[in-house]
Amino acid sequence: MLKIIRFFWGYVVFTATGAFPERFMNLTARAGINLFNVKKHGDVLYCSTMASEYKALRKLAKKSSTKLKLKEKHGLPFFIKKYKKRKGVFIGIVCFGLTLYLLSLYVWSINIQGNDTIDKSELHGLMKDIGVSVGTLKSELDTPMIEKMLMNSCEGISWVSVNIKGSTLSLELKEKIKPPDLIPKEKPCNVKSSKGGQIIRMEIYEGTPEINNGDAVVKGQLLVNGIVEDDFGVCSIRHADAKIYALTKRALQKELDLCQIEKVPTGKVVVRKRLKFFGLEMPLTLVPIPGQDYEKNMQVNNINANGISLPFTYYKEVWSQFYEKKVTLSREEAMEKAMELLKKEEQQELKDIKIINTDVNKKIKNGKAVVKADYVCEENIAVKEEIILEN
Amino acid sequence: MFKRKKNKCNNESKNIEKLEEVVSNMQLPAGAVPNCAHFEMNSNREVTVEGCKGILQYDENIVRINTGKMVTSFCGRKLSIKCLTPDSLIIEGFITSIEFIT
Repeated sequence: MLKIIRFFWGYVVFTATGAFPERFMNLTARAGINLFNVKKHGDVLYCSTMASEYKALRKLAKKSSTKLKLKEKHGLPFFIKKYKKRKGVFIGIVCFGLTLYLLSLYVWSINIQGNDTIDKSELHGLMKDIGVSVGTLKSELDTPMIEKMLMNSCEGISWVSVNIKGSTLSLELKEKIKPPDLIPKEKPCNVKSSKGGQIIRMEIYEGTPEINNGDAVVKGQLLVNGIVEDDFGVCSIRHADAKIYALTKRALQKELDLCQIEKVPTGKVVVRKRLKFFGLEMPLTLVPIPGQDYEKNMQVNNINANGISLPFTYYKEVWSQFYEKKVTLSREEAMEKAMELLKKEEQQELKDIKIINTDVNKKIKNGKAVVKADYVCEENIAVKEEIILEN
Repeated sequence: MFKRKKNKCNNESKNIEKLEEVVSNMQLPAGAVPNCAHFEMNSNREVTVEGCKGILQYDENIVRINTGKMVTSFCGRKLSIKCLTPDSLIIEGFITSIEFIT
């Protein structure tokens, strides 16, 4: 802090030589002049004092019969004096300050956090529709209003917060978790089967069972009745609830042509580069977009400085040329690929279902590898269906 | 005229002596006495002296200062005065010994 003050006020380094440097120091102290960094090398005393107080030292030096010699000048006043004639330097400093101030009035980066399913580009588009984009004046932004408008325009957002920190607009959001379609507990309902099969286990929480273990059921059959009759023969309508486990049959099939068309790169590559700064896009290469036999691979680099994203984005498009080549697969290869596809589908379709038995059939039919799998599964087939009452 | 001045000095010293007696009797800190030098040390690297009346000798190896009733000598290596104000100074360097001459 002291150094900063000294820099702004300016200070000088001088030497004092004479028979009694101590007397000189005492006189300066008594005169109320502060000395600092006092060092003695042989007979020479090196001292520093504030630039404004140096003149007053000459009288005291005479009194103590010492000779003063100015060695160095430091600080802002000397800097200004040195560059007084070079007005360009001052104009440059003022321009720099003004530019810095003007640029700080705008939003230069948008930081989105908390999105899992909603795409960032979609959110950027929504923001643009509202009128928020890179290069928008910060004073024009009404953050509570932006939050409300974003909530209204995007159904998938349950909560959003918009904050402006420096030139960065940070958007933090929480996505909605859709509740399952349930029939309210107060409304009466039956339990029906969602799939045909053979009942193996029942867990009935409410309602009258209409089937027994070992029974075969078809799709849409009433399993648990919502109308319950008590010991006295009085009927009441309830919200039936049950878990009915049945053995069901499922089948998945995959077909793969033995003749495949593969895309083979020719090795010809076209690179297009762009630089986006302060919302303006500038091409760095003068190459037109190549034809349809090219495929684009885009690289986007946001230029960061100490973790803060700057308003510069570098885009690199790599267009690679491909040609289509017919490839005939062997039987084994085709079957292997078809099985891989089937396994993938199985993992997706039957992920929540317990598979009891699997029967796989492989054959070649009309130039295609056909893989068919029949599954015997154990699953909950209970589905609630509302009883609509007429008043 | 000189007699008057001498008398005045004697009176002042007597007053200070009385004040010292009062301070010691009342068990007040020694710093409560006016014109009492105050030393503050940071290890043997830096010492701040308040109540300095003047520098008597200044060298790389010794700094001798007038602290009113006594002369204090700081001996060491590479000694320098970091800051000098009307009533205090800061000495920097490797202080090896301090000597008081009353």
